[in-house]
Amino acid sequence: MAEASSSITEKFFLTLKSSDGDEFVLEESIAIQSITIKNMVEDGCSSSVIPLSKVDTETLIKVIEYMKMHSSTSSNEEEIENFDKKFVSNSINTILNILEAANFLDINNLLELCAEAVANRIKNKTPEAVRKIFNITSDFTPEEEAEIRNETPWAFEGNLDHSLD
Amino acid sequence: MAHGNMKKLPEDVVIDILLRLPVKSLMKLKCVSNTWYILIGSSTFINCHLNSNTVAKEEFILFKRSFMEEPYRYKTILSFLSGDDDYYLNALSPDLDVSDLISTFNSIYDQFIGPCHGLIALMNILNTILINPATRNYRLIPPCPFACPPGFRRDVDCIGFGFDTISNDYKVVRISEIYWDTYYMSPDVREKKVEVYGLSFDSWRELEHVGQDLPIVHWMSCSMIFYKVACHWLAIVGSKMVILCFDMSTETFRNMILPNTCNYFNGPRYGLVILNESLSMICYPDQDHMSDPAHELMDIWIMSEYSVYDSWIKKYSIGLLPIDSLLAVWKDYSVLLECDNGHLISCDIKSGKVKAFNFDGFPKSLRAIT
Repeated sequence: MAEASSSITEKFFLTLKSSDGDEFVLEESIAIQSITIKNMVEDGCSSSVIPLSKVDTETLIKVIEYMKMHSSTSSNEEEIENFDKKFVSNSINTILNILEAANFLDINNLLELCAEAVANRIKNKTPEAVRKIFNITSDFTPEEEAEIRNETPWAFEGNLDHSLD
Repeated sequence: MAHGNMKKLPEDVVIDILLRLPVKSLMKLKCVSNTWYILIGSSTFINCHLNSNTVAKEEFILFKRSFMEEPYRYKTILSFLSGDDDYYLNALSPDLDVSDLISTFNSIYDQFIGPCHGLIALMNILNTILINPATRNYRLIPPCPFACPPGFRRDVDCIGFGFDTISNDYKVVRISEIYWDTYYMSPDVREKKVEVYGLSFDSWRELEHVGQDLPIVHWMSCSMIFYKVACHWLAIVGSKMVILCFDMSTETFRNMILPNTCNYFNGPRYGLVILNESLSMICYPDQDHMSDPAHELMDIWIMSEYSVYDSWIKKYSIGLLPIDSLLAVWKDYSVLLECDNGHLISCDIKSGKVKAFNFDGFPKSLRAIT
């Protein structure tokens, strides 16, 4: 920690509340990596608790972990890189939840990290596995699906991954 | 179980993920649902995908080759190959038989231009097709409708393709010359014509006030390229090679000068490429006219600052096997070449290491774009 600078600037804290009702206290300078929170602070809603009705506790803990690591003062590049690598090794469901939270909170680099990770994880998966992961029910008849598969049979060549994670 | 509990992701998040997938995965995931099918096939999505910088792009190579079906009848085949693997070229999709480009002569005039805002043009004197590498579809551009008056003939000097960022439209340009057919023994009357086709209007128009002193374009493999905002062609003024440029937005011409040790039209062969994002010129010996053995090297010149003559630098010089023509630059570190017998080889521009691929076509008919 630098000795000189920290004493000059006063620290502000925000309270974030998850959809499960849990409250988390976080330094404002860290929390405003979220553009959504930044806008709320600028609009003067920071004095009370900020409710995040779309983010559950488990996901919010991860998001805060990420924001703390990526806040400018504390960590070096290598640490961040290792952290990100480990971060995206979470289950694909967890990453999708974080991705949705990052979208709602408008944290661009977290959004990119997770979108890239999901893309990497699903790129070799079968359409059936992708449907389950994204909770999508196929609305094609078997005949329609066969027809679509026939448009580009080459896309189904090679080893496809059936796993759901 | 956990999957059943999961709520649906917002559509913009799904798009954000899909935009990062390679084409092969997208084609596979079209059958996930009707929504995904429509989304992945939409032109908005395809455009975003092609222009997206975040996409981990597969290095893919598009090849064109011709095969003789019977004398005076050649068919054109397009192959989409993945260059992910340094040693093998894997087919990304079945070869495409381009029936619109059947010709009676070996298509030594075929040129690839692009990729330019997601599209690639394959053009010869008569026809132009635009290829969308994402969907592997192509479309034939309607031929230029302007006819010659009776007694005149038309020679096509060159064609070009590019994107006009001001009118947001793809354009094809054609330079031709109309002259009295000598058969009529009339005085030599010549006029240069320039015609431009705009994709959004799907029509051709003639440019007015065309300068009559345009240099003559030298037509060979890799002699035409689109870079930044303009079409660039290797052309001849007197006995010197220059680069003729046509700005796609302002629709004006100008010439750029080549390095003066490397501009003799009657010697080696030349090709224009983009290397490390700079306009570059490759100069290599012509096998058809065996010349000075001292000049058996392939020289690669880079114009590090666009349009600044003093920034031409000779970056590499490689000793080579006999090659017929330059096809393309691949991944910024090797050049793809066609051998005398119509086979494909690649050559590392730093080490000079040569690699042969099991890929061929009728001699002189190979073209490639990466």
